[in-house]
Amino acid sequence: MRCTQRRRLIQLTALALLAVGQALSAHSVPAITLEETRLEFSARFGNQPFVCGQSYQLAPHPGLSLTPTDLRFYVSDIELVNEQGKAVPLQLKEDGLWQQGKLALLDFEQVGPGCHNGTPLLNTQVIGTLPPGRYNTLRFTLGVPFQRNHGMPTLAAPPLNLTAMFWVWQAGYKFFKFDAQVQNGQQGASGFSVHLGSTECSSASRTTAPASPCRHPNRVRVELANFDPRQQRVVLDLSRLLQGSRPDFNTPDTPPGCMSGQDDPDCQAIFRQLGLPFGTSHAGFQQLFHVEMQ
Amino acid sequence: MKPRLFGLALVLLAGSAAAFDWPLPDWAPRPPVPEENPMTAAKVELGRYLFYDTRLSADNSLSCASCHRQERAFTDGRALSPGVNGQPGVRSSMTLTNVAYYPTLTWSNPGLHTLEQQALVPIFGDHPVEMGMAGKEDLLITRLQQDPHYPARFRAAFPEQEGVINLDTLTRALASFQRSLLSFSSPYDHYAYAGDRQALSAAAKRGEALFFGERLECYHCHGGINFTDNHQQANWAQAETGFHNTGLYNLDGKGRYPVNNPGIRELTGNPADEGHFRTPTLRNIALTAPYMHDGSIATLREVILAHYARQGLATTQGRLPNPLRSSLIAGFTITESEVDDLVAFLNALTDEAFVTNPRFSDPHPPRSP
Repeated sequence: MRCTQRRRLIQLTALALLAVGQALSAHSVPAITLEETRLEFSARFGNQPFVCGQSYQLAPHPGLSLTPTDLRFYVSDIELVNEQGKAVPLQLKEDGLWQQGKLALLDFEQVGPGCHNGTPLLNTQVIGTLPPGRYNTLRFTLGVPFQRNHGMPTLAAPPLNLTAMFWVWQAGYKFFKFDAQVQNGQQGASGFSVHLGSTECSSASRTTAPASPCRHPNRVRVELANFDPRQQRVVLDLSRLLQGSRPDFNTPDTPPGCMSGQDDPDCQAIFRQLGLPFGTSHAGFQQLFHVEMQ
Repeated sequence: MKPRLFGLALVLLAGSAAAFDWPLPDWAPRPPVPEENPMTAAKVELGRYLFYDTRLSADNSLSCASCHRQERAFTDGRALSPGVNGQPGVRSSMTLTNVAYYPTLTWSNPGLHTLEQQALVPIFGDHPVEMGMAGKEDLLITRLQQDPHYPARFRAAFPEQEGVINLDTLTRALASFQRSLLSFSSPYDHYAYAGDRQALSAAAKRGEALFFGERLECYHCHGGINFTDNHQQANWAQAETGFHNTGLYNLDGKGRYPVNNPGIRELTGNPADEGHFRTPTLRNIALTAPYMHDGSIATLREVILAHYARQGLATTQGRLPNPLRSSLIAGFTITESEVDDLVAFLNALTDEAFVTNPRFSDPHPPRSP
C-alpha cells in the first residue's frame, strides 16, 4: 500500500507538450505519462540510524566513540535501468532547495541538540519522474559534475550555495562531507572528517576555475543492482566507510581525517571503501552504499 | 486629560512610506526581510535617529552607536563594551556590517534570529546591563513622545499604526536601519565580483591564495560573500549557521572556557558546545580590533600567529590544545612575509565607502555644550 501511495502519477498530456513545443511539430505527440519516483536514502552506523550529535561506539575499537556533526553529499546523473536493460535518466524536480538540473543534495545533519551548524532541514530523498515500467538497477554519481563544480559558489543557487560544501573555485565542491568529534578514553577528544572532492586541479589561482578536469576527479559512480524504487531504499553505512581507518589517529602534518589528498595516508582506506584509485591502488567497488527493503 | 488628537491630515501628509531602494551592486543578493516589517525609507531613517539616540539608555549616556561606531565598522575598539554607569561588559561589540545576512545574532545565541528581537537585548538586558532600561519601558516611550520630532517621524514610518510609539515600532525601525547597513565595496569586492583585477595589490593576491589554501584552512568557516558560514539571503529557503570552538581557552584541559563566556553551551546545556561562538564576518576586519568574542587578541598578526597558527591561543598560555575545538584548527607554519600577505588580503576587505557613508552617520544636530 505504501508503495502505491508513494507513486503519484503526473500526467503530461500531448496538449501540454504541444503548448511548449508548438513550433517544433504540427503533428500530435503521443501522450506520455511520467510517474513520480522517490529514491529514499537512509544513513546508518552499522544497524544504528545516523543522528547528528549522537554518539556511536566504533565496534572494532573498544573505548572509541564518534559524535557526528555533519553528513551531507551530492548525487548527480541518476538513472534507473529497466527490465529491457535500458538506462533511463531520472528527471529531477526543481525545488529551489535540494535539486537543480541533474544534481541533488542529501542532507542528514539537522540543527538540533548537539548539532548547531549547517542548515535546519533534513533531506533524505531524491524526487523525480520516470516513464512507467519496471526498474531493477540504480546508478548515480557521488559528486558534482565538472561543468557545475567550479563556478562562483558564493553566488550560486541552491543546492550549490552552501559555504560548508565548497572548497574553492579551483577544487570545486566537497562531494561528500562527514565531520565528527572522536572520543578516545585515553587520548581525549579530536576531530575527524571525510571530505571527498576533486584534487590536483590546474588553474591560475585558488580562486579561478580550472579549464580542464582535475587530475583526480574522485567522483564515485555507484551502481546498485536489485533496486526497485518502490520497494528498496539506498543505505549509506558509515561503519563501512570507516572500515580499516583509525579516526582517533591522524598522520602528522596532514588534514584531520581524509580531505582527499593523495599525499595523506589517512585517505588510503577511505578511498578503498569508496572504490576510488589512490596512489598505486587501482579503482575497485564502492562499499559505502547498499540496498535494502523499505 | 485631554484626548490626544491624532491628526488624520498629518498622517495623510506623511503619505505612504516610500519603498526602500536597495543600494546593492548587481551581483550581490538581497537579504531577507521579515514579512511583518517590510523595508521603507521612512523606517530606515527613523531607525537611524533612534540608533544614535542616547535617550534609549537609562541615564541618557549610551546610544546603540556608543558601542557600534561607524568609523570602526560599527564596533567600538574596546575589548569589552561597558554598560551604563560603567558596568563591565562580558563581550566585544560585533560589527553590524551586512548584519541583515546573518541568520542568528550576537556571538552565541543560536535561537536569536531577528534584529527586531535582538534590539531588546542591549536596551533591556540585565545580565549584563547594557543600556539599562529594564523595567523602564514607560520612561523610554515617554521620552520619545515628548521629543518635538519623533511623533512625526513615527507617523511617517508607521502610517498604518498611526505612528504609535511603542516597543514594537521602536524595534522595527532599529531593525530596518540595521538592515540598510550594506557593505559590498571593498577592494576585494571590486577584484573578485566586479571584475577589476587591478583592485588588489600583489601582496593581497598572495594573501588571498593563503586564505583560500589548505595549509591555513581559513575559508572553511570564513566562506561565502560575507566570509562566514552563517548566511541567509532573500531567495534561499533555508539559512546556514556555524558556531565553532577555535581553541581560544582550555582552562581545565577538557576544553573549559571562562565561566562568564562559555559560548552556546550557556544556552544549549550541551557540554560539547563549550566555547562555540558564531563565526564573525571578516568584512572590515581591519577596523574592528580587538578580536574574538572577548576582545582578547589585539591585532590581526596575533590572531594569525599566536592563535590560529598554534591550534588556538590556549597553547601559548601553557595549555594543551582545546579538545573541543574545530578539527580545522590544526595549526600551521607561516613565515613573516606570508603573515604580511595575509594581513594585506584582510585589509583589502575594508570598505571605505561603508564607514564614511553619510546615510549611516549620526543624523542628530550637534548638541549645544
